[in-house]
Amino acid sequence: MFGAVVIVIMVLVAFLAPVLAPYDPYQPDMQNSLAPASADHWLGTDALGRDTLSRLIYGSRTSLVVGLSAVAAALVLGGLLGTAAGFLGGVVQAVIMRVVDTLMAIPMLLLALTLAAVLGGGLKNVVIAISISMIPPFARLMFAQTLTIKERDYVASLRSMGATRWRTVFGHVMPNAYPAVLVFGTMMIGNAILGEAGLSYLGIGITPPGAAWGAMVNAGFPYLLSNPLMSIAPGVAIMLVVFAFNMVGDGLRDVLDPRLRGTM
Amino acid sequence: MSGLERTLLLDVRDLRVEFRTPLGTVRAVDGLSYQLYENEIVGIVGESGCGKSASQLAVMQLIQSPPGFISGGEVIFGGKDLLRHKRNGPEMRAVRGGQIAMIFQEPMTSLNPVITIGGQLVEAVQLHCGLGGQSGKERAVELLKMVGIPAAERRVNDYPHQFSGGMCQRVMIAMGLSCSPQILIADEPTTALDVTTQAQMLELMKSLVKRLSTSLVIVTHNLGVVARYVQRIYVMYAGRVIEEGSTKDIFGRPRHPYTLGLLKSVPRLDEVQGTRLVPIEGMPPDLIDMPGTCAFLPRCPYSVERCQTDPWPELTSVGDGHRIRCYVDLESCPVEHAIA
Amino acid sequence: MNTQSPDQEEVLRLVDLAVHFPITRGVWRRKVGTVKAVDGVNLTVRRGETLGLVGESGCGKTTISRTIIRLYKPNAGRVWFEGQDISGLGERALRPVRRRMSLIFQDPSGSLDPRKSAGSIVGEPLKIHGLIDSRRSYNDRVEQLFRLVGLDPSMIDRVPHEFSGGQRQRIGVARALACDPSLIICDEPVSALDVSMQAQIMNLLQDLQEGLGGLAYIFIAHDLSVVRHVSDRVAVMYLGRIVELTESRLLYSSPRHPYTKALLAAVPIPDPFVEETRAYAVLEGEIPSPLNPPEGCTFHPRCPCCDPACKWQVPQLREVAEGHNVSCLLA
Repeated sequence: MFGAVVIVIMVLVAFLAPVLAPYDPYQPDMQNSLAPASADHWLGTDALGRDTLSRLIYGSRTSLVVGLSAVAAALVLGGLLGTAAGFLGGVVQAVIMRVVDTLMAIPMLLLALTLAAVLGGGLKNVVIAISISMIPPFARLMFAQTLTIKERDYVASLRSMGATRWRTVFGHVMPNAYPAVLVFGTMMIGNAILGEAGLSYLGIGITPPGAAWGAMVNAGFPYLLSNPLMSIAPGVAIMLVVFAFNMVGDGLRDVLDPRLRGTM
Repeated sequence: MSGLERTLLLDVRDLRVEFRTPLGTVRAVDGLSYQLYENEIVGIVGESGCGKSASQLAVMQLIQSPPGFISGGEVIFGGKDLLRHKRNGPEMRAVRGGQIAMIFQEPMTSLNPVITIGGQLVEAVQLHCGLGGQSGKERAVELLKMVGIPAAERRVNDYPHQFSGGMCQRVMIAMGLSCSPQILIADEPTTALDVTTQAQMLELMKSLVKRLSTSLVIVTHNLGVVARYVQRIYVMYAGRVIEEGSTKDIFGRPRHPYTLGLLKSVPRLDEVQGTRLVPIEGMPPDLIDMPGTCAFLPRCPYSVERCQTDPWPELTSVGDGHRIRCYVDLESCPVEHAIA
Repeated sequence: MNTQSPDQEEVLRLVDLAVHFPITRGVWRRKVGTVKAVDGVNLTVRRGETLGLVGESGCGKTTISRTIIRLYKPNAGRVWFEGQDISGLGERALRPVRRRMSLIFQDPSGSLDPRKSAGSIVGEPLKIHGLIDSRRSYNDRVEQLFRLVGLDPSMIDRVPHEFSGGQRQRIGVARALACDPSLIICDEPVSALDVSMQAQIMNLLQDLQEGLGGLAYIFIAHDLSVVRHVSDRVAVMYLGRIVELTESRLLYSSPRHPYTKALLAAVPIPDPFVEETRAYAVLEGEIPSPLNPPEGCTFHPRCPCCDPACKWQVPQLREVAEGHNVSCLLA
């Protein structure tokens, strides 16, 4: 449950950022630029004198937003596509899965670059790019789950009782399919945050003065030898959060398993 | 049948097998003793969870460990205790397949799908009879013919998926008997097969073990199979033998309430129309929290005062070679035995 | 066997039923063969009776059960249910029909949604068919069904995994009874259970039939002893056709078809005294592939008493004695 604790802390930090951050993360302070860790600035400052700790705290908001929204969107869209393909079969299945395959062939980076070129950079487009690139794995997972569940006797039983397809899919197939997808989703949150980090690092996503962990790692690179904390602090934060989400994913798998309910 | 000088092949004494699970230790086999003599067919009968399969795996030291452990007992074979040998040591490997062979329930999954039938047979004879190369291949074809596979010379090069379930089981029998072992253990050999195929397999096994003077242990829950093929029966419940005896004694004069319960709850092909089955009430025991008293007590319609207070008794003799583990001898109670 | 609307006493009538499955290969799904899973079956089931269907793999008994409840559509022939021809009805038209018949499955674990409570599983048919007036009457009915099958109503909120195999099968039975059907198709309902559980469920099914009056069963199993025990009449199937149809008491005492005789011989009786004196002959050969069934009488390659005519002439099911139908040229 270490994972859950870390995440709760992160959410609280993100929420209470204005309260917790000792300084304004965007306010430059050339007097104090590139300061090492000290009592005033626990993690030092960056090239523009902005407090690293404050930027780290505010950066958690960005990471959380990107991680959760990108995955949520991908999960819902991918999930619906996968279920439709799995349950309806035939032409629908063929079309949907080919579209998904095509999407999978496009590297996320390329997609993000294209979007950035067309729509401009910024948080919204980072989320869109990451989200679209994540749709294929969710779609495929849901597709596989639906196919398996569709063959179970209890689905045949529903049809033999005269249940509508709607009831079957939303009442029975989806509730049995979503746990695996949800678990997968929590693990993908880590990936999404890394994705944002990567994009920001390349200068596509969040650019300074925006506070985002990936951008901070990027900005800190030239100063790695003199002020390592500038890159290391956000790097460690990314690592911790990704790890935490993965652990929570594992735990979630057990929680959602109906077989572990009750006294067994 | 006693009094005749028979050679004792296998002597299992107080065998205990445990499985360590997150919920506790499951005592799958809890003090099992039985004997196997030369040239006989013995049946180990019981429902799922009684420990019959686990016991045979333990004899061959095939228990997956962890979570299973052989926690006690002796398996005397050829003058030595098999359980003293190292699990994957040379002595055990020589015994397995060479002197004691085993066939399993699912013929389709017991064979390696990527090696030809011939290849697998040759492997078996190579390991245990030392027949390699050409003589190994010839032996493989011979074995296929022995178990009645048509066009053996051609089919020896086929893969398992090209064989039907019945034919796969025949191959398993061939592999098992390939080096004329002293003992063949068949663990639920027919459960996954069709009725007519089942009959063919059992007849085949019966004739082959007779021809090769191999003793056969059939582990099953099917009372019909033991009635037709087996000479002596061990009835197991919750990891122990609760009744043992000749087939006729067990079916004709069952003395333990569980045995009687089983016989009355099974439909017979020749029963009179309108016969009512008498099920055994209740549910199988939880093997984790076993009380010291009789494991069948919660379901037993014949229990007495003593069964509640005293521990589960040892096996006591009630006739020639007929023993039960019970404080109540059903001979004293009215026993119905309806035959159509 | 006419195709007119049958009489009121009949719950089900199958007329020349045929169900074929195409075998396709390749990207374009070329048809390379057909499996004739059910190949010309005629059957009737009367109100309140139990008809047993028995046979080995590939005989078509499961396909028939799925076709009756219209999970499959017949390729030829008719399915009459309660006087109505349901062979060609669409899903919507089938809904009221599916209220009147239900299916019990073999696998107690797979046939229950693992995420739903036992109560909601049992009550689902009521919701599907809109038979609830109030929360109260719904709960009452679910409780009543639980009691009918011998389950403790306090377990209504438990999930399937918290029940034993036998109890799960009881949940399946309760669900099948929910809408008061006139026909329940039991597809291997006891095969996956332990011996001691089998008797409990068989007794339960028989008690329900007596208690509820007018409830008919089609009981499908591969275990001949079980089928004979519960059924009034038994149909023996081989490769998609019925080879013998008779009362169950006559099945053991006077079987007419060679396959029936072989099937009976292959089933050992749990009684060594009887087995000792029983002369039995083991059937040779294997069940042919349904993709390529033999010409003429499909059983002729394995039949101990084969006539030259059997090789090309397909025998029809005909009455050889009162209530005893056999499909064999030599019967």
